[in-house]
Amino acid sequence: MSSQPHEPDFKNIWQNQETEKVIMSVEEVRFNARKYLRRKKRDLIARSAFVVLAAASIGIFLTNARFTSLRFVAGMVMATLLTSTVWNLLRVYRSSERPWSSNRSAPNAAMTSCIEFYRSELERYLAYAGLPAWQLVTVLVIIGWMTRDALTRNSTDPFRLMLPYVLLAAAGLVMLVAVRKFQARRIQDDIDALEVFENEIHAGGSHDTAADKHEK
Amino acid sequence: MGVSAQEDLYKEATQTYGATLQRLARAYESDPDKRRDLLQDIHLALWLSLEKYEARCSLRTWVYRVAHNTATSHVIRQHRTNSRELFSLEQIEAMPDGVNPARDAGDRMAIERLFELIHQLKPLERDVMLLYLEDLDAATIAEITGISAVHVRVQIHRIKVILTRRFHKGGHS
Repeated sequence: MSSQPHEPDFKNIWQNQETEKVIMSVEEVRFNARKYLRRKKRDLIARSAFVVLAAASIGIFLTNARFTSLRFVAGMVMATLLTSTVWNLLRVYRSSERPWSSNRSAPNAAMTSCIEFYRSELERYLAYAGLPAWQLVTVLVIIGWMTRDALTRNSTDPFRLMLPYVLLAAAGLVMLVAVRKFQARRIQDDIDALEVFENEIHAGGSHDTAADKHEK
Repeated sequence: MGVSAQEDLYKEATQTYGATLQRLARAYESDPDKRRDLLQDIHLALWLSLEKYEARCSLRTWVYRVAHNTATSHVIRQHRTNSRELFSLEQIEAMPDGVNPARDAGDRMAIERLFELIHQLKPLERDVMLLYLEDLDAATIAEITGISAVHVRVQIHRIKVILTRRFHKGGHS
């Protein structure tokens, strides 16, 4: 270090910086923890309720409706959405041993090193960003087919009233897919950079570099 | 673990590392409102994690891991949607003088310039830098981050070079 210019005491600067005197009390943290767990529980109940409602709606719709090709397609769309929701719900249950009690990710965060945690978080977000893409594309294809059918026929099917909303939803889905794709690409870039970093570690870990010798 | 033991551990952790957690939150989030939320998230994660605390590692390692990993999650969440690019130490070291925003802030306080530099870093490098600034040795940093001690020393060397260069040329004395 003798060749380098005057070096400020960075550690001292860092550790003596002014911090706000905000210390959370145990009561406050306990209250937040209860609130968090209640929110998780509500989320799970809401998802389950949605599946039950969707299943009931499809059942009523398919048993009472006159069987036209348009209604058949609508039924397929609903069935696809229902399947994807059930699938997501199963994933939530599977990924959580005790979904009602505590947050599993907190102990994981403590027992996992930063590099492992970083990788697992990136992979989790990548899976999340990539998950709806194929489902939404499937729904879009079905909606496209349904729209074409409705536009070329002059039936008085009341389902036709839903068409503008269906088109709006389709446009929204396209946007969502695009955003998800963009996010997935960014996360993939981060994973690639992490792999480069890990390779560098493995390459550097086998022998002492000049910097390391210098530090020693 | 009993609730009272969890409480005792939490109190011990916040008394010992409370200021560290605040500095860490500041290093990971510049927006004051989001920073407050992040700090709450860290405390919440710490509280929940202590339910499963085992003495396989020290409380210090436990607290640092929870805090850094929670903050990393926060950075990834933010990074998914914003356009801000994050850099490695190597990239920052190689940056030409003209595109270095921290360099132009010669009259600003040293700590602000430190934050500017830290906010540019990728999560793992940010972890190493913060742990170094908290005066942890390479072996402890390696235990917390999972990066080999040898590589941690290489990173620390880079950090020192970058800091010295920037602070010297930035006018700090």
